[in-house]
Amino acid sequence: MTFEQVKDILTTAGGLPAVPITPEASLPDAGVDSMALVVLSLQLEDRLGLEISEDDLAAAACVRELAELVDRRAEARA
Amino acid sequence: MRQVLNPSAGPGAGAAAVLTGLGTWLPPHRVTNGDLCDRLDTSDEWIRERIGIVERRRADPAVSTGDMAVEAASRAMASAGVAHVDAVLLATTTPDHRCPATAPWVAHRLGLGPVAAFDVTAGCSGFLHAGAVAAGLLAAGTARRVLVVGAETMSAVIDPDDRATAPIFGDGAGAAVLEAGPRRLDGALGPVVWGSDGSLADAIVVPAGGTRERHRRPVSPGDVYVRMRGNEVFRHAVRRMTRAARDAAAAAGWELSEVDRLIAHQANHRINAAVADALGIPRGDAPSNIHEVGNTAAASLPLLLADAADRGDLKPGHKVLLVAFGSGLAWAATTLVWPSGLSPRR
Repeated sequence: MTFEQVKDILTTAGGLPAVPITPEASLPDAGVDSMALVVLSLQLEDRLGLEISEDDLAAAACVRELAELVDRRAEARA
Repeated sequence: MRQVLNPSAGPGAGAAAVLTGLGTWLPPHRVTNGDLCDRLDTSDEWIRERIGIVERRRADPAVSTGDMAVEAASRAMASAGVAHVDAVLLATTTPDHRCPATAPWVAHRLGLGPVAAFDVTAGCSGFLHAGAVAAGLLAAGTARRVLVVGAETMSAVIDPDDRATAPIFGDGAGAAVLEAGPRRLDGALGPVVWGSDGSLADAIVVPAGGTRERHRRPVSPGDVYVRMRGNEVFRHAVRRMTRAARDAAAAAGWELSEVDRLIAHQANHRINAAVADALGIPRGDAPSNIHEVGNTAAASLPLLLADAADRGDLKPGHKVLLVAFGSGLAWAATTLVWPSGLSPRR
């Protein structure tokens, strides 16, 4: 999953403002709160069949790492 | 006093529950986000953008859930143009007392005489649960006309220092009159889809005051307040409300694309956006009043119905899908076609 795809989920499904969401922004700086991570987690399950808890997602240091985490989990499943 | 107890005695047998009156009451005192932020480590901007709440109402300490229920109920009866009902069902998680139930006192204050009256405890989905019970009473012919009230004094169980709950909940009451009538009539409730998951009883809980925690004396002061695991509740709310709403539409024989309005429990605007998205219902077709009243638990749906009807957002003939979710966990959903000639009293 690319950074842009994560950003798209966070802004459309999650309703977050787009501007602060940059690849290197930390989750708090990007405006990504715990509820946004729940929305992302639900979307990943619906779109990709991936179950990644919001706690696991919260461990990402920045938005780019969120996308990398999704890729790692998808590969591990494959 | 007419008490129809024999199904064969009245034409109610097999009847639908038809919505004929709607009334609400909100305490006049408004609490803004700014008022709360003086005490909590949060901001107006965060509460407004992330939860969707701008202000909520707070009942005076001298006003109880029963008091607010009486106000909403009398308005609902005026809205329906009726002076009597056969039963009063009060959905609340914040009753006047642990014992007795609050509904009999409400019935007494309404001057209804010795009618059946009891409380229904099903958290934020209590209004739909009570509506489902009322529909059963009407279908069986046990009653011909039922008053269903949702009333809450959430401020009584909120820790003012807990930023996870203090900004969210508000006080208020809403009530509906349901009467036995033909299923094809506009305003008739469709099949109710409901459920519960007690394995998550502690996801939204007031720990003290019941029998479970009585071995722990004294209780810690915070145990008298509601505690909520917000993220877990968010996840289950989206999943359960989506499924229940989809199933209720199907049970009514509706395609989701036919739904004109989604009336969802007002807990958090992001939950409802996620539910609307999952159902494929435009977010703009899901009216909201959370910005003005917050999460009023069991009072949420009747307050929203009255608000949307008054704003012209619910029009006669609209196919309305109702869904709620809350502590228990418990959830429920049903349908109705919005009737003509229904004027909520507020």
